[in-house]
Amino acid sequence: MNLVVGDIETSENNVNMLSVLEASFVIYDERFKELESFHESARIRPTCVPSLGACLTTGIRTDKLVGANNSSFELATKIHSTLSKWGSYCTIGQNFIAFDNEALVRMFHKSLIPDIWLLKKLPKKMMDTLFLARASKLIDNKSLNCEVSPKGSDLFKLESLCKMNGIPHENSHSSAGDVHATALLAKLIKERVPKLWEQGLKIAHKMDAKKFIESNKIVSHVAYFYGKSRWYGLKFCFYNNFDYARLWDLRVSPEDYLNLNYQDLKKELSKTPKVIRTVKPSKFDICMDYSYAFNFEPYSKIGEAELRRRATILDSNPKFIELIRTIDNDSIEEKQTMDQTELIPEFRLYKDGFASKKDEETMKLFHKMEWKDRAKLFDRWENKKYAWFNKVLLFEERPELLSKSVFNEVRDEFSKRLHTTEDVNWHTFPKFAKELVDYGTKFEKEKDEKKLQLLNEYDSYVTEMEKKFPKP
Amino acid sequence: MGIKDLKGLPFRLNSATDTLLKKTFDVARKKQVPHRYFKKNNINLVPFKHEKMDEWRENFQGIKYEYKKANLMVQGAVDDILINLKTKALSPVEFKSTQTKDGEQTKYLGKPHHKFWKNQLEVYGYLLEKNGFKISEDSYIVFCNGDISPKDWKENLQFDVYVINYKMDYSWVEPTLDQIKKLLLEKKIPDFSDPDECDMCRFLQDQKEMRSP
Repeated sequence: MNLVVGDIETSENNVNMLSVLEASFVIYDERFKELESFHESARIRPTCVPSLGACLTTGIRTDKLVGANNSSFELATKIHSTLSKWGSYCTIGQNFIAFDNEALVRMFHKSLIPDIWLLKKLPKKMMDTLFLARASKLIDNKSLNCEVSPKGSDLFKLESLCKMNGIPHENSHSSAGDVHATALLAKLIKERVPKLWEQGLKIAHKMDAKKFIESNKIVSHVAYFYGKSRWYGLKFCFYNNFDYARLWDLRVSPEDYLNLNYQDLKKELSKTPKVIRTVKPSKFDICMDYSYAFNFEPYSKIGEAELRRRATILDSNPKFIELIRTIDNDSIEEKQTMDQTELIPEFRLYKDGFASKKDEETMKLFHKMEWKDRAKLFDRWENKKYAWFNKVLLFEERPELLSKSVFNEVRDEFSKRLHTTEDVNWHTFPKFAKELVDYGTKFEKEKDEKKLQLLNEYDSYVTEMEKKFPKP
Repeated sequence: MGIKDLKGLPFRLNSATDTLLKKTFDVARKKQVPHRYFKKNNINLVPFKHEKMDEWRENFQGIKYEYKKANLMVQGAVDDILINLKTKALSPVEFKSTQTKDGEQTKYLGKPHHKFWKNQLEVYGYLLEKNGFKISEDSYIVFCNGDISPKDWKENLQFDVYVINYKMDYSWVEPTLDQIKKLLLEKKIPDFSDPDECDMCRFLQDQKEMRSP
């Protein structure tokens, strides 16, 4: 299967609100021969305050923030058409699943592109070198050299893995440099732990991962927490309302739990260490066959015969499994009912589900139209969030085409959002001001003139921006 | 072992396009000029002239090589062969014709069945090398995609033609031949392969499960 290695650089960390400033994707064949590449950058969205932390990491200067060839919308459509054109492949990147893909999906969403789940649709698949690297180290400690943190944890940052494993990593934190290094890291893992790579491809789509868990029934799961990867020997029980697999940890015998009532069982299940564990088939949660966990403590001490006996007990008590499922789903529902926060349109990706057929048709129409006609679509949307995205796109791309009232509506909403001092999930003017002081103090102490100059540039940029979004 | 694969329908239309393509390649071979599809793609290779060309392109004949280590005769009927007149290196060519809405995407050879196309080209590359020829790493697929966009048919099927380059690596061929030999010599018929990978295995597996009490 071909591989597409991807990376994006962004203006901040919040996937719902960020601007994608650089994007690189390279398609390789299964032997890592490069077939084609895509490297583009974009101007920051005019409604987005840059995070100094993010921009200092990527080293992107303000002239690029305002002078890149593409607008954010143009970049979104270019990325989408390139990734569509490349056909069937498995996307891979460092922390790609949790960050880059989530950011891209939202970028497509806000750009009114109908097919936002492009990269996760079969036959396309998705892997993540971060998960592969952690599993690789667990399967064979010698497979990768890792730096160790002061707390004794292996470090899996791309920069560090490259340094420790002789992978050339030029232009680190530029999307093109990171893509090249990620491809070399993936190749290294494929060569050093081929069984993991093979298994990774087998579970690189939600449907395939579910099939693997269901058909194997007992699996070895690579769990990562407190800076360490560990094996868990798990018996599949059911999928909860989030479509996450819930599995019984076979280090615990289910016998003591079988006769508990709803309340007592709920209490027991909430205790740590958890006996019911979660595997997310859609998130490339790595599962191997049972033997990996069974050869590790505490499972190896318990012995395979006893572990299998425990699994059989679960198989022969479907009512018990059903009770756990009920407890599980009740608690999900409880949390959802408690959370009554009204979400702004940018945060409603999952909440609203798929777009209606009519909205999907309007999106297709939107992309065929010229900008002047796109300004006439506001009333056509069934879901009002799309009307908002429509207005924002016009505001960011062609504000002169907006009526005064719509222009003011968008500007006032962003003024409110960007000046707020509340603890919101996006970057604001007050947050920027605080960052400016913190970094300013730091660089003055370090007498780092270059970085102080960079701060000045960013300060000027944001000051100009503040003029466009006056305090409400 | 006397077990034959289930027969599908014969690919008469695909064979027809192969035959027509071969004719046009023969014209370019006679003139020793690049075929128009290759010329259009700035690939300066010409159809290879060789006395055995017809035999190599004939089904059940093909290019042959006896792999003595495993005592196996390897044969493959290539669709055509190109030569770089400067370097004298040969490139095998495979013709593929179908109808797909994803014609443009085919050039990335990313679908599962494209693996078989790649294998095919690499076996031809291997066979040519073993027959003493200098081989380029470049091989080609001439991909003809039926165009179903015209509203009025007029009994004429048009094709969009793509020349797809594939860089060969046939280092896997001999180890695979060794594995085949080992498998053939085993006393026990092996279990089915991964049913997800092979329709025939899935069919046999399902059939076995349905018959078991």
